[in-house]
Amino acid sequence: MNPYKILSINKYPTKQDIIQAAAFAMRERKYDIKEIAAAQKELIDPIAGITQEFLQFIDLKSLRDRLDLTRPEAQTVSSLEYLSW
Amino acid sequence: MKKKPQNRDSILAKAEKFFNRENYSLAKREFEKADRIAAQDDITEKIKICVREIGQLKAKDLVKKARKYAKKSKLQEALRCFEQAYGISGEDWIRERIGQLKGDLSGSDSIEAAIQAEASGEYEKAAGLYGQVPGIQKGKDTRFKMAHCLVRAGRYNEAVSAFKDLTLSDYSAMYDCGFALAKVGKYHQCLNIWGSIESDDSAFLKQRASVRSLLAADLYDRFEHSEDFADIYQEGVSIVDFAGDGGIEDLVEYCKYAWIDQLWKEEQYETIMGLLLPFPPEMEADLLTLYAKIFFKLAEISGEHLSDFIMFWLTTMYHPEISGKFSGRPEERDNVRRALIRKAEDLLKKYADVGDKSSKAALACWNVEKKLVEDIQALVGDREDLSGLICSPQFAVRFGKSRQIIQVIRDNRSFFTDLEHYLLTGGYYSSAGPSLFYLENRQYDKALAGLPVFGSYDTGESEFVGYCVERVQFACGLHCLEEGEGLPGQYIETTVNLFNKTSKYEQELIDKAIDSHEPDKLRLYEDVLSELYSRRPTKGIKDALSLVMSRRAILMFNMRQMNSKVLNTTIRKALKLNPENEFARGLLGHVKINVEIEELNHALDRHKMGKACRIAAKSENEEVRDVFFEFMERGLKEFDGYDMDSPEKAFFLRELYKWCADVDESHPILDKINNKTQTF
Repeated sequence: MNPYKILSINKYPTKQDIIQAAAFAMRERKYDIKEIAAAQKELIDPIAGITQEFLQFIDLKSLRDRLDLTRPEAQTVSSLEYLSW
Repeated sequence: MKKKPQNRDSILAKAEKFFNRENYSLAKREFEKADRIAAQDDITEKIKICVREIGQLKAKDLVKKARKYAKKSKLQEALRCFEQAYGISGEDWIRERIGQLKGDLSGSDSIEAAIQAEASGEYEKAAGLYGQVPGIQKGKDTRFKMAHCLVRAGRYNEAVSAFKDLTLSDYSAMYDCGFALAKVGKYHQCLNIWGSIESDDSAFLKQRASVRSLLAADLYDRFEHSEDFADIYQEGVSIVDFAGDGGIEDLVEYCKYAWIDQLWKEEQYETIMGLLLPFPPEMEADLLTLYAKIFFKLAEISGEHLSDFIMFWLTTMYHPEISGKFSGRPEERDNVRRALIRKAEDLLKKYADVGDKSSKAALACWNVEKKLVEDIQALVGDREDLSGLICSPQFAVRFGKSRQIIQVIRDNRSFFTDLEHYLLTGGYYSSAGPSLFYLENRQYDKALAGLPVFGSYDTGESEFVGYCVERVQFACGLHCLEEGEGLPGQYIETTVNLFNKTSKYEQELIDKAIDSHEPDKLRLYEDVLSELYSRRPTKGIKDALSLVMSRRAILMFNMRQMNSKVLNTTIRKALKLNPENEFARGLLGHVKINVEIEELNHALDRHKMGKACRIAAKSENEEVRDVFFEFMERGLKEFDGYDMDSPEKAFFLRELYKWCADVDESHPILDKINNKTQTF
């Protein structure tokens, strides 16, 4: 179960965000009422909330940031000469 | 002789006969004769039919000839015949065939001209001429030649189209096609094709490197102007191994992570896993977190990767840098870790409850590994220099941390509660660790086969490997005993060593031996305990041996596979080992009676009455005397039927009286004998 998906909610929601999202999800009826309630409970509880945040999101920024994206010196395609085989 | 003149009717009859037989030439001649005699409309009509049919036959013949010429590639002759045939029959299909033949004739001319143009370096013209060759004549060879000329003429886009439906089978065509692709900016496709060319030609290798460099530049362009990370990664990864050709390793790596971000949102976890395999040689915190999360998501979907999931999850949960991000407050951090571990455990239990053997094995491994990681975490404590060593044994093996962990374990022997705890922890992280995991899942053959051969492991781990060998051999030996198989001889030595290190395994063997109730298994346990006792004479082994020995003896006796004497000797031997053996002591009384009764019966059967009297008189057991007197009573009862004269009978009664009195002077049988004696 991904409570963020069920409640259509982003990372780091406030308690108010969660409650509002749950109410909206219930009106939308895309998910079962039990699932919505469980998702709300998970995100409101501090420990379960951190647990879900760990499980449902990945953060690869630090892995990307350390990479060197300096463009190497480029050649031109016109420099390619046909080789007789 | 003058020919007989024919009349018109007979000529007509002859003509009709030929006509019906479809011999139109002769029919026509006869009809004309008849017509000359007297012209008639119907005859004229028949002549017309004959003329038409004769024409058709001629046309058929010409078509046949034309086809033969065409088959022999004599296109001019074939054309002439078809044209004549068409002149006669005027059929449409002949006209179409004439058109084709004319095209083919001009195609042949084009090929000739194209070859000449190509030879003189007029590639553009040659390509055009090859292009004019009609479809039917444009074989693979012609199309390759045209594509080659297009490349040489610098018309690369057309060349790429020309190569599109051709199967490239020779290096020359592969080069041409790749060159055209490179010239139109399709560098990745060019390299794919050139990758099949096995050549050491330096000019070609240099050119291939140039194309890689062009691809790298192209990927950078696309990276700057789009978010098509999947394609950039997939094209870039094909050249990333060629160090120095464009230097795009970091770009490819960047696009991989950017693509993973997209895939995560789309819940494409299998694809992400494909991108993350094989595992890198080193695993730093952020990457480790990614692996743990991916394998968690995969474990939610299927039980296929549980082993890797356990390895990454446990290591991640106890990684100080990762768990530090859960919360700034230690208590909350521990709670989150516990919650995440519980989630993983719930997943594993779900699979173990409904899954196969491997899911159950995964849960067993999880339990062991969790305890080990907890121990290593406690051992390392706050030492930052060692924090990277907190990992599961499987992770340690995979990422080359085993040796360092073993060293830390050795350096901190006092941390462990006892020798067993120390050796077992080191054992799991040693080269013999996999065997312990097999043992955990009762896979005895694999556990034995997985033990490292002496000399194949590091000296630093030898005490742990040695312990694992003892532990595995003991467990396998015990399994053999439970299965009713003998314990392999070499196991005794290692078992004694194991018992010397930790006595809990001695107790395990004793418990198994005592719980055994089948004579065959008891014999095996008796042999093993006896052997062990000779090398390690502990009270536990001695008492167990005494009990197993006496228990087996009585079972054998009851099955009539042991006589009273041997039983008696065995029980006494068991009691000698353990005088407190209540079972043997209880047996001994019964055994004594049995032995005496057996001896008494033996004496009575052989009429050795003196001996029988002595046994009965000496015995402390009433049962023995009862057997004696029952025998005497029977003798007295059957006395009247004996074929003896009176003095003999009197003598017999006197002897009977004497024997009975020797055993018991007050036994009632004596009165009966007296009464009987008085009748003589």
